[in-house]
Amino acid sequence: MKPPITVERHPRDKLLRVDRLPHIWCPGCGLGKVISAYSKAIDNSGIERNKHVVVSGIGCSGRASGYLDLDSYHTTHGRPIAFATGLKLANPELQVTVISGDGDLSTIGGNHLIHAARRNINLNVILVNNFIYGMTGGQASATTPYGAKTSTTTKGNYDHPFNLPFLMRAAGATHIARWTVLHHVQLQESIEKAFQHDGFSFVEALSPCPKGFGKKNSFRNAIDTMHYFEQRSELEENPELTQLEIDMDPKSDVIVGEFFAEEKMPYFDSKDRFFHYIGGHQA
Amino acid sequence: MKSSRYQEEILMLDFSKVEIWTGNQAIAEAAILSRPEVIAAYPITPSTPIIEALSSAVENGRLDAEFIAVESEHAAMSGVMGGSAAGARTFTATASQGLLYMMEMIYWAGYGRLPIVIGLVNRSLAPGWSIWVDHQDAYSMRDAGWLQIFAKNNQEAHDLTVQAFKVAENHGVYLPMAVNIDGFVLSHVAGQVQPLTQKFVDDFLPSFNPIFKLDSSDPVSFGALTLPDDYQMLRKDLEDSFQRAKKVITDVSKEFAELTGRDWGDLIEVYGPESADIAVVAMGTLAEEAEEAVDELNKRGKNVGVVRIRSFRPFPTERIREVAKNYDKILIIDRGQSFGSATPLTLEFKNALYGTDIPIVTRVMGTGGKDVDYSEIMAVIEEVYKEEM
Repeated sequence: MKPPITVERHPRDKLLRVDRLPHIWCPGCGLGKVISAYSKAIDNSGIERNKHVVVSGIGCSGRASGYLDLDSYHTTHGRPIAFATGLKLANPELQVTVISGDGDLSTIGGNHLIHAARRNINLNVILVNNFIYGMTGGQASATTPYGAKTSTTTKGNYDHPFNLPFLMRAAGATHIARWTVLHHVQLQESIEKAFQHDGFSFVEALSPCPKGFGKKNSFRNAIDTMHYFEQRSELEENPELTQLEIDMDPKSDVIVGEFFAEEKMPYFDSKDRFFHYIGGHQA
Repeated sequence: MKSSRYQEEILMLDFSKVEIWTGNQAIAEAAILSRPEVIAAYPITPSTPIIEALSSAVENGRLDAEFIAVESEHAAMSGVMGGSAAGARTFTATASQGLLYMMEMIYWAGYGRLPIVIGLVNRSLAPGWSIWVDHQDAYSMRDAGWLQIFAKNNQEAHDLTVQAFKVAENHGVYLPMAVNIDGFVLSHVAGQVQPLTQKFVDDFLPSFNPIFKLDSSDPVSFGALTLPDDYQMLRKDLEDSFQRAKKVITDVSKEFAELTGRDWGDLIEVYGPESADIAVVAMGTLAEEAEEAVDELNKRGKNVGVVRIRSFRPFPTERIREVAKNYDKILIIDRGQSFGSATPLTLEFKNALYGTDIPIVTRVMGTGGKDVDYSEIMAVIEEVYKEEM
């Protein structure tokens, strides 16, 4: 057996707080890939590093703000989008990205997700969907597939999950993409597109949680979810959004792609135009 | 006390049976035996294992209840309030930020007289993020109209959870109740617990008999606008119920002690010599640690005791006045603060002992999960011995 390859420096180190490493994420977790794609996207964005801000909530993904060497804020459970909205309003020059999980953004914080999309405020939301609450040990969240086993649905989940791209489209998001963490380059490009997009961007990153989700379901080994993503991912550019629910059934496809983008008056323009129209004070 | 034969044969308590349970398991098992009918819960460290155990019990048919895996703590408390308003026995568990997030509903449950029981696994508040124990979360609900009781070990947590339903649902009380255990120190540390049995709990705890409930055959409306005169009357009524709860908690503790032989005290637990130079006052595991400290010091010729506050709400003002005269000094070890004033326990003691001249010294210890062992408590006691009052 060959000895493992070790390197002193990782290409992404310059965007990491290396003094905070090693990280707390489990072997086989997809969060490292998300951080890697995001930091590569920052490199490619042409936007100076000190204009990038990252906000996260609670859960394993919440650690993102701690590991990235950017201005960052680790907020309370479910509130990173509300916090990021205030941040963006106070300093519109900043490129504000929220990295958090399905439990944080779509379950306890679901209200802020839909309302930020409704306002079409220029935020970049990277929702890392691992289908459960990972940090507390694998309880059902709002994206847990129907029938999936979790530590609060030991015989299977009887609640229906969110179809997040469809939800986001209905709420008013103007850029919607989904990739698995295996689609590293595509994920990175969608994040770059989010930086460029003038309006609310939603990028869903499907990610394995071998310990919390995989082992209780059809993905016993850490690599199994990645194999599933490899074998069953289908690229669709203009999918029927109602058909994008994920059931994590080994026999089902996982639809990925750049699903939707439109130009629609973003929050700041909408505000300016409104005050111009009524002839009143313009902020 | 009744004979052990009575205990074993009539109540089917098997005293030879000992489980090794964490505090979370001890609470969950007692909650299951108490037959709650609606549980709405949301995970948060360190209370998550309680709700996992309850959801499993519901799913495997051991507990006939509705379990709602809600989307937030705010929804968890709202869910059990709905269940309680419909006349069901209800239970949930949370900690720290989770409690803060459900706080609007916590006040509603208290002021709205919904006798919910919650397992509150005490954990410090952010920022900075900390998952470890202190009592700041419990203090945040001090004025919410909830009974608040603190266990010192896993066995007491087990026993208190069953007693909590009996106290909360008592028609003279009719208030929600929080059973507090120290996060990780109890919640995740396994210790010996003599389990209660279903037969015992069914005999000890009558089924929930709501004073009022939503009932389509006799429609009522809750939550209406309340004019000032009525509002003040309702709050006075709440206060009266808290005063009555003092006796009910004491009676239920006594009844439980007679049946099981496990006497955890009344509103307080007094430990050590009848009169002493110093009484150490604390709640939860710090009080048990203080017992070790005073044992060690008393062996060395000192004369120290412990007064453990079991019931923080209602606060045992009269009992404190009774026992305080047995001590020359009072040393309060508080696991929380009230910034800009004295600590919450100190405020209570100064109120209770107003007009007396017993000196009170306070130390804030063990916040944010900082470990406090008996030797540190001994050192503090030694300091207080030396201090001139």
